[in-house]
Amino acid sequence: MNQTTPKKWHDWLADPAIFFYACLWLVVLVIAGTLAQPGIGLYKAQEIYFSSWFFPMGPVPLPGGRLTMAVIFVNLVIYLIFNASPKKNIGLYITHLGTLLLLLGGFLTAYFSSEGTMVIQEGGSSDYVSDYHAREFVIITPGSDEDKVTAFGMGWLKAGSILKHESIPGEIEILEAYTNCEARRRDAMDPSFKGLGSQYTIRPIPDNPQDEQNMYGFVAAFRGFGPNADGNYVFVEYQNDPTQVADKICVLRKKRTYVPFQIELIDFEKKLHPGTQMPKSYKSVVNLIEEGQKRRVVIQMNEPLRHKGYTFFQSSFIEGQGGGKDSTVLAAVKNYGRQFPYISSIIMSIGLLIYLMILVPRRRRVMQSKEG
Amino acid sequence: MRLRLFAIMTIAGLFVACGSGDKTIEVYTIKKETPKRAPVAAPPKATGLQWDVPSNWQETPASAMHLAAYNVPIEGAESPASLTLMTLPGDGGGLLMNVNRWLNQLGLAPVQASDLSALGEAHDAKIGPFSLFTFKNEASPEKAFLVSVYQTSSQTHFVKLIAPMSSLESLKPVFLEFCQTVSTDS
Repeated sequence: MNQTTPKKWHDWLADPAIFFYACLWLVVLVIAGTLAQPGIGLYKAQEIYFSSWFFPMGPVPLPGGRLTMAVIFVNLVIYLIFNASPKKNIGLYITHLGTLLLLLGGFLTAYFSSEGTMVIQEGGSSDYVSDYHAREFVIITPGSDEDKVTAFGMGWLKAGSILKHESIPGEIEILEAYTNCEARRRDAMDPSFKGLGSQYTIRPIPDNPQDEQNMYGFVAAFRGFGPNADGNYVFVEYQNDPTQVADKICVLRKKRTYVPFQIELIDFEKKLHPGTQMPKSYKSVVNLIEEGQKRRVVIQMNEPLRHKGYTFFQSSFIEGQGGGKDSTVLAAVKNYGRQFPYISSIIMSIGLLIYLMILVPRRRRVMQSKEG
Repeated sequence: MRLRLFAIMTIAGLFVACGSGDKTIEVYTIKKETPKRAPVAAPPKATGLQWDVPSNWQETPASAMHLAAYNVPIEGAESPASLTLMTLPGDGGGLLMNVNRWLNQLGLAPVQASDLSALGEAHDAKIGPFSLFTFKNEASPEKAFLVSVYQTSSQTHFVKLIAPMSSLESLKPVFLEFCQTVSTDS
């Protein structure tokens, strides 16, 4: 009688077929994302197909890149914990570890990396990076030397959200929220609104494929900020002046990440191709200021500034109006998972080499014994 | 077995943490930020400008930024209106920025560049064409502005009158007449 051991739960989860089909699905997602990108833009395509848990295909929700990679991650971890043994096949074990490390790097990049710009005018300095895509709604309580900032992430900026925190006196209800909108001047002042909203109304317009060009906006009801401050307000990005609500200053803006140092722009130089207005090269001469110490650094093409995990690349510039001062635009990147692809590739290569070194002599012995 | 359980719990925790999205609230303090206005150089006092001052206006000490300052009497009111003249190099920071600055001073919403032509009245002075702007906020009638802006090839001249909203219309003809006398002394 032939008895088979029943499959345990981890046998199901560690099934290599899951890995195989999940990888196949990743290929499908890459093709779908690539095809969609010209129409909806790079950022949206990335968000829908690769950074999502699910994405809708008509009425059917399909697994997104994040879910697929999570499945692969779980599959590999369960395999390594329950089903694999380094003693049996050390080469394969190391290769799987390398793959896990690659996925872990992807996780760190997805959740903890930041990318944005730092704009500095000649003679000025900056200590924050504005994200390319993420927005935030900040409520600033001005102090004598320092300002206290309460920043609500983009996930809050949806109709129906109630923004509350112990650092602000009342609550804010988001009534309408748009990822791209236009502001229109009202024919007459609307006394039911305060601030910008008394003169302007906002209405949604289709999203621009270039997400950086979209202007976020929302309408919110403030309660508990004081009898003169409570009411409805309109907020849009790029407002010339921030909105004052009682003693607070409220701003909708690109999400800021403050860095533990300052960069001061001493000089910005641009060279043009002869006889044209086309820039040939840009160069920013900056001071890196940290704990009162200044270090002179030149940032130019292929020569970024790397400091405390941040990399600042020369990206663009803003020409001063009417002979005014130029501003440099530095692309700033912080990626904790930056080294993971290199390390995991080395580990996977070592694993495969060991695997082959063990497998090839074994195969040869089998062949020789068959021939013998 | 405990190690395995720990590993599974860690992975589960990782996924729960991933689910929180960007519904974050951060509270932090930053060094007080200075307003980011376009820096402008202090204007020279001698700008080569001339103007005719009505006899009932009283000259007052001008600040470092102003060429001259006057008290302009308002009929039936105790406090006079104040008028200042100022010159800035280049475009003086741009017409849009200045208009939005004045709107902001009155608690009004900023405008777009496309709205500027509708806001200003075109007039001519001895120095050349200028734009006259009227800024008032019904919600704060204690203060309103009449501003004339003269753009030349190298400088921008401003004449600004600050008065209660109720007297703005009565002051407008005399303000306009004054603005039309502005000329260069060459």
